[in-house]
Amino acid sequence: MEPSPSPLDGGAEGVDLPPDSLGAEDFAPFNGGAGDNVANDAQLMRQAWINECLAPEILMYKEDIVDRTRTEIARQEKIVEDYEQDHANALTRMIRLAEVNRIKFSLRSYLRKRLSKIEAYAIHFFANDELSSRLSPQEHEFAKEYIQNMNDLFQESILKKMPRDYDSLLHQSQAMESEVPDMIPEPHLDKHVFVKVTDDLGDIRIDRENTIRLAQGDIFAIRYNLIKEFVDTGRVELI
Amino acid sequence: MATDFARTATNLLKELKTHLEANDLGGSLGSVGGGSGYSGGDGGVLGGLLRDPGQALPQFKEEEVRRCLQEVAEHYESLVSILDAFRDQGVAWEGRPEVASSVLIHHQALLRNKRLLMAYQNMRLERVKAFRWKCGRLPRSTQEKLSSPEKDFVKRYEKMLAKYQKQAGVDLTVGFYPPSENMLKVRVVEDLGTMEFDYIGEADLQVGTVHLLPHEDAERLIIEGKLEHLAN
Repeated sequence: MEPSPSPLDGGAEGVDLPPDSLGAEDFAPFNGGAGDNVANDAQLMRQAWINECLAPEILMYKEDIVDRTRTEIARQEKIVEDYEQDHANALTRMIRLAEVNRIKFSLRSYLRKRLSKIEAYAIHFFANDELSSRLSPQEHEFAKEYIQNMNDLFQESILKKMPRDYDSLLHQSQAMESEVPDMIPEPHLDKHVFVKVTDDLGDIRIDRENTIRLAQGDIFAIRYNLIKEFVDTGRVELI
Repeated sequence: MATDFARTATNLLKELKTHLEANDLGGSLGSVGGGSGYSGGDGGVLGGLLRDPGQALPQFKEEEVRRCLQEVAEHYESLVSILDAFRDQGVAWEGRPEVASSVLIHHQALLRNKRLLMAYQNMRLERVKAFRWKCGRLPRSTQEKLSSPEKDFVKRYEKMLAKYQKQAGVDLTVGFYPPSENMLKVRVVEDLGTMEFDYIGEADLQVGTVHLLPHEDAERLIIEGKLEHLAN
């Protein structure tokens, strides 16, 4: 009689695993049968993390990916812990644990990278409706508190002691120079990034005279500005 | 006279910059996590720990800052007195080049001092944040070097981070490098008694003992200095 498949099996033979198993369909390193077109959560998380690291501005918060990854991580950790005493499958368990740790790393790095961008450009994001819609509610609150915190620090140590017209955090000088705040740091959207085109995009205008054809599979180093709107929809990938 | 004024602010900034560069934290100077490159052969989980935590952040230069601000006040006074004098006489100062240039110089010098002071404070701010991300809570020797508004900032920053992490449900202060091992071999530096860990149950952490601990918990304790990582 065939032994029932242990939940620790990585599904190497393509065995049909019960749904509550070690999630072979999501994390199995041996899951060769899944094919390249099925983007599982781990890959989505990884791509979101890569995009966030390479893009100069903050991208849309991928709430669904983050939530799903978090629940999946919790589930996997519990299963690994439950099978602690199962020495027969200790190796598989360790490998699974390693995979969970790596995915945890990419999640953490994703959130940390976003926080660092928020800290760097907090005021700019806050003032711009479109950009602040890309933050999660928790990030929004973090941004608000960060601005307050920073403002208080600068006020206390320097700005309070400056003469009246020069004591603003946003304007260099309110009386003399500009009406528009000129002291807010903004991300440089003209930075060049490496992209790989996943969907055929046709011609893109790069300056007054030239256009470039972006066909599927091409790899370019191009100004971020020009491919900005394609990054979020996944039609290009930052590499 | 005016050149003396300008020099103080520039010197302040230059001094801080050279001092910071000489005591690089190793890894990134960026404010949040993400070390630049994982050097596995470094003999430590975190490649490039502080060489001398006490030196990493110089004392907040209260005196120099005060002098800069005083120069700013003096410039402002000159500026205002010129403008007032002309307003009282009802004559436009813009039309007279010698007056206009003097006004402009005071104004620009003032702005320059403001920029340098803000840059100084900003650099310290970034430094403090980088410190906090690399090493957890700041050691006492560094805390003494902070000015009082900076101390308030650090307290509130800790609170903000703690709140965000609780809401996100993820601990962001560990795992700066992609993990290459599940468990880390560590030697205990500070007596921690019996602690419970995921996956292995309890471990008795007496000084000098060597354990194999899960990556995440071990890393946190290594950052705090309570364990020492033994790389092969």
